[in-house]
Amino acid sequence: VNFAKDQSNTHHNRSVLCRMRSLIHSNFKISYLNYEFHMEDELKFSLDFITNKYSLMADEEQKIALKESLCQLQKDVSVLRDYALPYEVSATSIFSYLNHSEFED
Amino acid sequence: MMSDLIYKPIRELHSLIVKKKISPIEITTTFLDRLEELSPVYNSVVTVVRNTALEEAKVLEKEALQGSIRGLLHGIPYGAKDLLATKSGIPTTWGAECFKKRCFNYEATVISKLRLRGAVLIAKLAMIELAGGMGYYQPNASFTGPCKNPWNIEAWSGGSSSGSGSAVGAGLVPFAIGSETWGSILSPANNCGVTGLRPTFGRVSRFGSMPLSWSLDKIGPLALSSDDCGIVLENISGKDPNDDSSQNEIFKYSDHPPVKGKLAVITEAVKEADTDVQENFIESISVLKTWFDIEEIKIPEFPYHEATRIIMLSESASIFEDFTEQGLADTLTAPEDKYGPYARTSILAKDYIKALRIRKLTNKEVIPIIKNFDAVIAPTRNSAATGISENFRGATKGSGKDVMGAIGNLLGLPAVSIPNGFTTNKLPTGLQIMGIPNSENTILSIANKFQNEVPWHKYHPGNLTPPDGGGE
Repeated sequence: VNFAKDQSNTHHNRSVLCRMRSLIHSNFKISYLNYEFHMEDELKFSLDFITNKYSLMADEEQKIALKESLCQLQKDVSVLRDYALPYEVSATSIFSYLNHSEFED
Repeated sequence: MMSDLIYKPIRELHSLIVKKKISPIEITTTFLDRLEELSPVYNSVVTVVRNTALEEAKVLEKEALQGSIRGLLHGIPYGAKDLLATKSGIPTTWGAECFKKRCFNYEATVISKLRLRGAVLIAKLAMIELAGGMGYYQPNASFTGPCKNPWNIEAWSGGSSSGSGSAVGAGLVPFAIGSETWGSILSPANNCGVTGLRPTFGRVSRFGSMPLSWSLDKIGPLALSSDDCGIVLENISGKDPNDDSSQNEIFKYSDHPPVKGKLAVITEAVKEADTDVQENFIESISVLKTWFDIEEIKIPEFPYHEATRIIMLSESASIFEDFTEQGLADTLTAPEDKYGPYARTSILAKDYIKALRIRKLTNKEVIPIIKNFDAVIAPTRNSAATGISENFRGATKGSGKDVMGAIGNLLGLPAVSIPNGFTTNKLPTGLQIMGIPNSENTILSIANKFQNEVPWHKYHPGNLTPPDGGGE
């Protein structure tokens, strides 16, 4: 099943229109200076984006539940963003610090 | 059916084979018959592999008669979670309706290794669809139905290695292979009263296994004792060129005496558990105090849960991108899984990277603390098995918090869960022993000591235990 291709342009155009409308009606204020939304704006943006993108795949009940998932996700993301880290801490892969014998028992 | 083979440890079965008191065909047939008779009651099996199992057993029998024994697993039947690829026309379903007829033309490294060591695959075991990665919150999240607990069919087996826990607990297989991204080996071990070992990240190759999160997935055994888990781990671990994350070190199982004589308890990991769970944990402490000093510790405050969740969700969003875009989530069984993959597609790269950075710092700060001890102990879960129709995420107090699981999986730490008693509802509870990376021998030897002293692992559901088999 290739759902995305079957829906082709119609789905794509509808999706783009929906996203444009959502943006117009949601009073987004995007700060180009720091590239940050406020979290509540971001939640709304994500919700509009996700529900429009997957509008043909999720029914109304699922979209409500999806909003709850997004809220949980936003909570997690907020906690991570609020956690200050010095820039020296890089994102080294877990593979690199476990694949040696330092801990061998 | 030779019922006296049920619930026997691997070493005992091995000894019977070596002494030619039973043959690999007899033992394989015994477990195949038991699987076919009982597994439908528990929804614990997807495919019984009778023909290929008997063909393999025949070869092993011939070798045994010639005195050629491949090792401790020679002729021992086992089951594998149905996310491990198998060839020979045996389907690999990942627990999902849309993949129920899918066959691979290659097999998982774990399956190849076990075959080479003489273990006989007799069943592909039930699992939560897509290893629970779509966010399920109740047991009916598999196309094979909710997997039931051998101690009470109104209770859940745990997940996502549901069939692996249930089948071992019901004596349908001597051991099983499961996998854990976060909780999927330890939860069924806790709920079904069996022993489950989550190895260090990279100990066991994941090649041929369904990926859910490349930097969190681990494969490990569920069995009747910690000794059985050690035997199985030795046979499945090691470097695999097909899995970049697999470690170079060879794991040799030995009853490695703990050197420090010290165990730690993380306060936060105990306080939210149910009363019965807490009481059994305190009883376990009183046993362990015979050999160990036990110290209460606090660990640095990090967003363990949040970082682990964001890593898992981001990596799974990439792994299941095609699946999601093709709308295949709608074919899943659990209503909550049908929309599960969508929200995570909005995670920003910078947030995923932040989670990875937090993991690095956590590793640097937390491992040195744990290193002062032989292991950290805690209740495996905050509660015993929840009801078969219950929302397990809201069913018990504090069920959303799993400090040990979050830290252990974030940092790829090994942990073993062993049965440590029962609740007033006669459901088993578990004791978790977690160590630093590659300390499997230490944590297993602590578990061995415990199981030699208080053999909760030898209790089995009365209705499933053969006469003279030592039931509840």
